[in-house]
Amino acid sequence: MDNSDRLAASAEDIGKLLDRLTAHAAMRLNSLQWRPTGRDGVVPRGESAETIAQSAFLKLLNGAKWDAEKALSTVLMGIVDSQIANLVRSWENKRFQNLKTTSIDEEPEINQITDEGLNPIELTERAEDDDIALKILDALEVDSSEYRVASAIFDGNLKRSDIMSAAALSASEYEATKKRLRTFLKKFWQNQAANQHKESATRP
Amino acid sequence: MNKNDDSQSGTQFLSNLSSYAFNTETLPSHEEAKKILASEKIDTSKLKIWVNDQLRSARAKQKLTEAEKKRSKMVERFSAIRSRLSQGTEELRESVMAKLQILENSSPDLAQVYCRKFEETSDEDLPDLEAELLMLEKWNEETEK
Repeated sequence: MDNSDRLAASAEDIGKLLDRLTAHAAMRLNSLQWRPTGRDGVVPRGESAETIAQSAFLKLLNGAKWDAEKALSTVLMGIVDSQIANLVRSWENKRFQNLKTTSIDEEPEINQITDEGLNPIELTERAEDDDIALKILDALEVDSSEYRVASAIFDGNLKRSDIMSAAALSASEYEATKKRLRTFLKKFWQNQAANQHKESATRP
Repeated sequence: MNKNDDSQSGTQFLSNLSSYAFNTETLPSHEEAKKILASEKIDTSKLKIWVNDQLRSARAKQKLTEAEKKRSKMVERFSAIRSRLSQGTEELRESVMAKLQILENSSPDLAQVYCRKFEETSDEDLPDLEAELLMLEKWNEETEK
C-alpha cells in the first residue's frame, strides 16, 4: 500500500486536519517574525501557511516517508515543521553569503573564528538577537505575568510545569498570559519591521 | 546578555519565547485552529477542494489497482480451468479411440464410419460421440449374448 492508498483509506477528517495543519503552519511562521521579514525575509514571497500545508500533502502523496505507526496528522505536522526549518536554514545561508560578500572589503578576516567557535558575522548576528531580546524584556511591564513568563523562559524553563512554577501562575493564568504575550510579540515585531523599513528608506 | 549562568543567548531566548507564545510544539485542536485561521484571515476552502481532488484521484487509483488484482486472479483461475479441461478432452479422445478399436474388431465398416466422424468431431461434441459408441458397444454385447 503506497501513501496515496493510505491517505485515501485514512479515517481522519481531512477537512478538519487541513484547518489544523494550516493554523499550525501560520503559527510557526508567526513565531519566526523575530527574524527579518519582507523581501529578503525568512519566508519568501509567495510562500504562506496555505502553500506550506498544500506542499506537505503533495509531498506525502509523492511518497514522503510515512512511519506505519504514526497518525496522518503527526506525519503531516512533521513535514510542515521540516519545510519551515528548511526555509530558516536557507535564509541563514543566504544571509551569511550576502554579509560575507558585502563585508569582504571592510573585514578581510571575515573567516576568522573566535574562541566561541563563531566568526565575526555570527557574532554580529548574535549581538543583534541579544539586543532584540533585551528590548522585549524592557518593553514588558516588570512583575506582569508576561514579564514573569518571559523571564522564566530566559532562565531556561521550557516545560509548561516549570514555567508555571517559575512565574507563579495557575493553569488558567498560564493560558491567558500566553495569549497576551502572543499579541504583544505580534505588535512588537510589527513595530520592529516598521522601524527597519524607515531606517532603510532614510539611508542614503 | 548573560543575566546568570543558566540564561540563554538572545537567539535561543527569542526562539523559545516564540515557540511558547505561538504554541508551535503541537497541532492545535480544530476549535483552536478555526480561531487562528479567522484571526490570520486565512481561508482554507480552496486548499480543501484541491486536497479532495487529489484524494478522489488517489481513491480512483486504489479502485483501479483492486480491479486489476481481481482481474489477474480471474485470469489465473481461467487458465487453471482451461488446463484441466484440455486434460479432460485428451482423456475423452483416448476413451473414444479405445472404443473405436473394439468396434473395429466387431464391425470394421461401422468402425470406419465412426473413425471419419471422430476426425470431424469438435472437442465440444466428443462426449456425444463417446455416448453413441458406448451404446453401440452395449448393443454389440447384447447381440453377442
